[in-house]
Amino acid sequence: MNDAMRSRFLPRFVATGSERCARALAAVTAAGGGVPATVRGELHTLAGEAGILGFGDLAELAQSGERDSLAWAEAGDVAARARCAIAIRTLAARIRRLTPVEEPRRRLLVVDDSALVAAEIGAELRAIGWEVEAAADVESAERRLGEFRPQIVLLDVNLPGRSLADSCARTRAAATGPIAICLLSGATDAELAERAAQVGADAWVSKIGGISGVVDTVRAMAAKS
Amino acid sequence: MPTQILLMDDSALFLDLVGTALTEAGHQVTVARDLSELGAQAADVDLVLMDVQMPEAFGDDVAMVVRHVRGSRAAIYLLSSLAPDELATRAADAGLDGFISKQIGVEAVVARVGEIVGAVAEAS
Repeated sequence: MNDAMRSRFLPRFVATGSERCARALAAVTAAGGGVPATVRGELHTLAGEAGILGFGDLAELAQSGERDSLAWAEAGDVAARARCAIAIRTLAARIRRLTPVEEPRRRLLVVDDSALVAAEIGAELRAIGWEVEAAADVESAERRLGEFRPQIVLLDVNLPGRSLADSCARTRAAATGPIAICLLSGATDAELAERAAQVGADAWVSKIGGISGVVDTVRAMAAKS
Repeated sequence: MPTQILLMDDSALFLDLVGTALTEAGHQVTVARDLSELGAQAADVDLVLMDVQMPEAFGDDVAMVVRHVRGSRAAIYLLSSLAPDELATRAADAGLDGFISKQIGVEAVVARVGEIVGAVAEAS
């Protein structure tokens, strides 16, 4: 269907569909006999709304629940009632997923003289919507901080020709907004923790845990900020 | 002159979506969610699109009233998510002009209405 039309009505479909599922689920799980007519009515209307919006799979699921509600109502089929409840729960979950939950835009600057490390971390984070830039040394990082305005800086502890304390201080001084600095190194966690405390870094992550460990750490930092 | 279409369905979302699509396609659309909103509107339109399963009544029963009691000469089609074979039977039993499945999606519904409107205009 027309994308603009679908986008326009999608939020309403998600809201309406979720409400229909909630009412149907309350009716199917109600103590005693339940209320099959309510279940059937909600699922029938939901099937029509899903079908007209082009969500054929949701429409079919609603119709299968509707058929089960009929078998439950007419023949007292307990298994059909259980299947119906499962169909409604599945529908509710799928409808919720129609509205993608995107992470807020995050910007990360990787300061590492290894282009390979920077590229791998960048690829992982860009895939989930982050903006990532790389700098091979502190001088390059200083030039990028003002314009790129990262929320997190991933700082290699062994940048050539400069102490970690100096790298950290110059990075903070060049930032134009609040930043969190995460140390990055092949050292162990214990060593990194000590060095982070010494230079006032906000976090640390060891390359020993692989790229996924680095990505998990910066995502956790972003979630806290 | 634009075609006058009456759309009856108990889903407000469905009425807004299909009503908007038909209006953008150049038709003049009035909507009704239940019998009280239906009023006398059905007598003055060219085409009635009627849902089948509504809380108060079945659309095919309502359509028969619209045609035989209120004397509407509009073409009447069932518009429902019921299976096509059931829709065909119900439309035929009620002496209606046909049916459209909701499951074909809004664009196909609008296209089908265009065909129906063309045929109605040719016949009149």
